[in-house]
Amino acid sequence: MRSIYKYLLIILAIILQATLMKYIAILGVKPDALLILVIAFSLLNGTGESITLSLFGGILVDVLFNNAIGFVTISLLIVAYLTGILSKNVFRESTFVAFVFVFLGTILYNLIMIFSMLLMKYELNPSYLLNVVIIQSVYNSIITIFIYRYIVRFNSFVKSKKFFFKV
Amino acid sequence: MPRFLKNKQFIFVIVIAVALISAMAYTYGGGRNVTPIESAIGGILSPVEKAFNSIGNSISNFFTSIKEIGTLRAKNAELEKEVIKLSKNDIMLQEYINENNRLRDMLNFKDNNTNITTKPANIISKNPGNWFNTFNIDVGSDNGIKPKMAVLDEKGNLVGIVTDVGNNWSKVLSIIDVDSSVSALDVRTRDNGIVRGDSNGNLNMIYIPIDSKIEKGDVITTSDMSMFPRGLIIGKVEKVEKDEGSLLKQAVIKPEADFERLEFVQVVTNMKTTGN
Repeated sequence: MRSIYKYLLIILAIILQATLMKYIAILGVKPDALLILVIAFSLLNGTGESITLSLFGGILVDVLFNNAIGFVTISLLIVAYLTGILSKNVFRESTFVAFVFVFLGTILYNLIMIFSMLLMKYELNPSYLLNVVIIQSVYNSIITIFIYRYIVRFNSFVKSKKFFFKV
Repeated sequence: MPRFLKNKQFIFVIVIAVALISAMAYTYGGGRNVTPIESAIGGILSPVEKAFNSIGNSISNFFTSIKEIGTLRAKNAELEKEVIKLSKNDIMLQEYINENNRLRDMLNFKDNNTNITTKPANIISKNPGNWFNTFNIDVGSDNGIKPKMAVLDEKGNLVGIVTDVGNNWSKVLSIIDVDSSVSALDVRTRDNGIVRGDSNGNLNMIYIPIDSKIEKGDVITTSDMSMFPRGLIIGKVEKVEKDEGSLLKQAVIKPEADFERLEFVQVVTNMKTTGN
């Protein structure tokens, strides 16, 4: 249960995302801190963690912000689970690997989102879809290049150290 | 038995996915008071969100004021000119108001807009994703907010509708969300239509009759047939196009409320559709 720090980090990421992220949007598209974190931790720690973290983060976002509970959670769950499975065969701590995973993961995440919106009979605007998918995957993966090493460090820190209080 | 069915974790994921899809189907559409657990989650996090949001606002105010210093003098002169022009207009408007009142009395019209009561609210956070345009406000059922109440900006332009209500927070669906649709009216030509969001900040008005004389610059308001109070300003027509393959027109509408810089809103609390 030492991973409570990961959960706290995810809560912080969601709050920052909902309040401050609008100031760094490019062409109206915001990066997704939650998605980056969940993909990174799934890559580092495998499927078990990918399921718990994506459920926790996704349900939190859905309850707080979304019109139907499950939109974000199901996309996040699928992306994180696939990442967890594939992470067995790659060198986990390489920034380049994380870059590729976040890039493809963001595309898949948005495609699942679009698919569920189509099922709900939303009228979608094709040019906007393309914008969001492309800009966000580039944006997310570039952010990953800069922060992945810190996530790796945080992850090993959580694994190894003893903390001020036991959880 | 296929190999993947032996993997307990995989089956677990599938079960969760099915559960989530049913949750989606159950909760879709809003218009409910959220469960106590959901309400508590929002209640715990909303003060934190409020704090971070005000930090963000003050940072962005700081940078905008730096940007504006150079242009202040020119802007001031411009504004003074504007004041003179407006005070002239004001007199004219007063004239029109008097005339309007007389005509209204004559026609025995009931003005719905004068009896709207509102409750002010702060926006505390916006949807973190890119697909949906929803935001949270800091009032809830404790303050008498109910689902399906209309949300206006400071100037009274239509912003959205309350979808889910917690104890001290509520979710609002903006009219620019792809999921929103509002029955609307062109003030000049009296054409009815439906205004829907297209999620990149504009609105589409659809189902306009082909012989309508709708033009660029027309003001669009909520119509009497919607669940919103009538006469709330939605936006101005930006472009009119003929809908391919059907005998209808559609128009692109620029919303009057500034969704990028929305901070304070007001919730209409005496709507007939919410039982008040």
